Amino acid sequence: MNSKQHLILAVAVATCLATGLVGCDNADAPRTSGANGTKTGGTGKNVAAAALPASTFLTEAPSGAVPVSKLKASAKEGDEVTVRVVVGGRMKPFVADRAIMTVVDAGLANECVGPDAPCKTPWDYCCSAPEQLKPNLATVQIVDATGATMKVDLNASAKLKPAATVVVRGVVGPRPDPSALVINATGIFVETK
Amino acid sequence: MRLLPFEYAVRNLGRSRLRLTMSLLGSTLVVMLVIAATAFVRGMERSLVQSGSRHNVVLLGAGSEESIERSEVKASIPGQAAASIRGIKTRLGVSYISPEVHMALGVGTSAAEESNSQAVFRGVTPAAFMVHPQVRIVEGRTFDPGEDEVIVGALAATRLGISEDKLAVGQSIWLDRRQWKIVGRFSAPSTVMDAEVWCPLVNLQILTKRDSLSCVVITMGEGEFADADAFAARRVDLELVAMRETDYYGKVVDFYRPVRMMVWATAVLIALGGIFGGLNTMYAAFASRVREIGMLQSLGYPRRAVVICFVQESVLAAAAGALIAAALSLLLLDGLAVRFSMGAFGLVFDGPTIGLGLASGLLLGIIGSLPPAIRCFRMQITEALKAA
Repeated sequence: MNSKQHLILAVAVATCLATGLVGCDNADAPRTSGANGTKTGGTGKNVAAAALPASTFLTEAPSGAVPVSKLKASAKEGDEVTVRVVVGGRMKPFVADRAIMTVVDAGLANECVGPDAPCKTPWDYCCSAPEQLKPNLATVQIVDATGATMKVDLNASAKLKPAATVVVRGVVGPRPDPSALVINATGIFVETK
Repeated sequence: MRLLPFEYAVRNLGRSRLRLTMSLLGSTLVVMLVIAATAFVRGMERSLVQSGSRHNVVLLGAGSEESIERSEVKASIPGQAAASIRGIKTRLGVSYISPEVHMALGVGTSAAEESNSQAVFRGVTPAAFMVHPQVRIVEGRTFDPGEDEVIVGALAATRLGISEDKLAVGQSIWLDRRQWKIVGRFSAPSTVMDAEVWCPLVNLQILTKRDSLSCVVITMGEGEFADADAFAARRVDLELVAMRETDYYGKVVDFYRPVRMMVWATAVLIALGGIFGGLNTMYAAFASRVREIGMLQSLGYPRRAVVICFVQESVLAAAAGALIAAALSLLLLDGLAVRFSMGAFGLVFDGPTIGLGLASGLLLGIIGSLPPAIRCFRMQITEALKAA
């Protein structure tokens, strides 16, 4: 076979393949941003990560912790409070790019924890009855000087992880509903097991 | 290396018309199947992936992240979200917030007919057209709020398994013995919405006797997903979960992975059958040409040159079959839609689909010819020349 015949064969095969490849029109198709959706920017914008104040993490646990359920019944916006809580209550307790986490009162027994518990995400308290969980569920956030939630991942630091027990000191934020409790934290002590 | 003339391989193809026909037929069938399987999988994936917008956030009931239809959120959520979430897209003072009810309902095409098949109904407000810009009214008009009127997607008839005529503008459908007039048709190509029926939110709530919503879809403008997620985390009393719309449909894509695997497995098994059939044909074809092989070698052609010539023959036949398969697929299968639990999707015959089919045809030609060719060349030249 001479070079001309080689060329004919090559062109025939290339035509065969090119017939299929021309018209590939999926370049603009939107892509999923990851099943977990925790690390990709929703609108593609970069969030400027601010640093948490040095005073955020305490070296000693504040005293006078009050149960979350009791606070929900009595606390008013602006009250200074201390709670002992577990990071969790949702499958993803941390909000990506925002200094917010959901917490559950440490006094609530977690049915998901134990040698026989099959739960892979015990911090979400999915094994507990919703009517038990809801009164003990609260939100902790860290705000800047303007009162806006800081744009930083709380779990970016090695200290805060799901299921960690923490003692939070802070100020009660706006309460649009008696069963909602947001604490603007001024100090967090992470308990070591 | 001295190669045999290319024409020699081409002429050999015509020596046995029956063998050529069998090779073409086998290659055509296998490649058609590969193209159909690829078109099915790509169609399903595309309809789910393109259903979500990366700018949209869905607020769902906590624990219902797997299915919007199972989700329930309070009817007050849209107002609370508008007041609390920063950076929601607005236009002329109207926020891109769409309260929606999604339900699979049995549909009848006459008052007397039993509703055997189900379609996904989406009860919406006009804001739905803002957050789902893929949806375009292509015939008629949109429904009037408060009226028992619906608009139907381009693939709704496929989903219901009925003729297009029964869902034409001006016709009616019956839901729970209640008549709903079809006032328009919409198109949302390559999305699950294309197989849905849309109606006024309030009317669907009345029909289904519910005052809650399935979800609230929000398009973010200056804000980010984190702003909506922060709202859900702060308002634990509302028991909400915020998800990117793309992530929601990404999870649905994962849910259907076993179906896709089954389709691929079936295609591979049948392709294997095609390859073994091809091998059998080639073994028989080459075995009858042992003397020819011996003669070519005695003329001075190296074994490799003769193998290449035989592979050329096989690849030419398989490639021709692949092109026929591609043409037949485009003629017979393009435009077909397939029903599935979330609606319906069209088979996708794009470049990668056809390319994969053609590549499988070429591969079939190579794999199908190499083993029998190599087997023939194990024979000594003298034995080959004496062969009957």
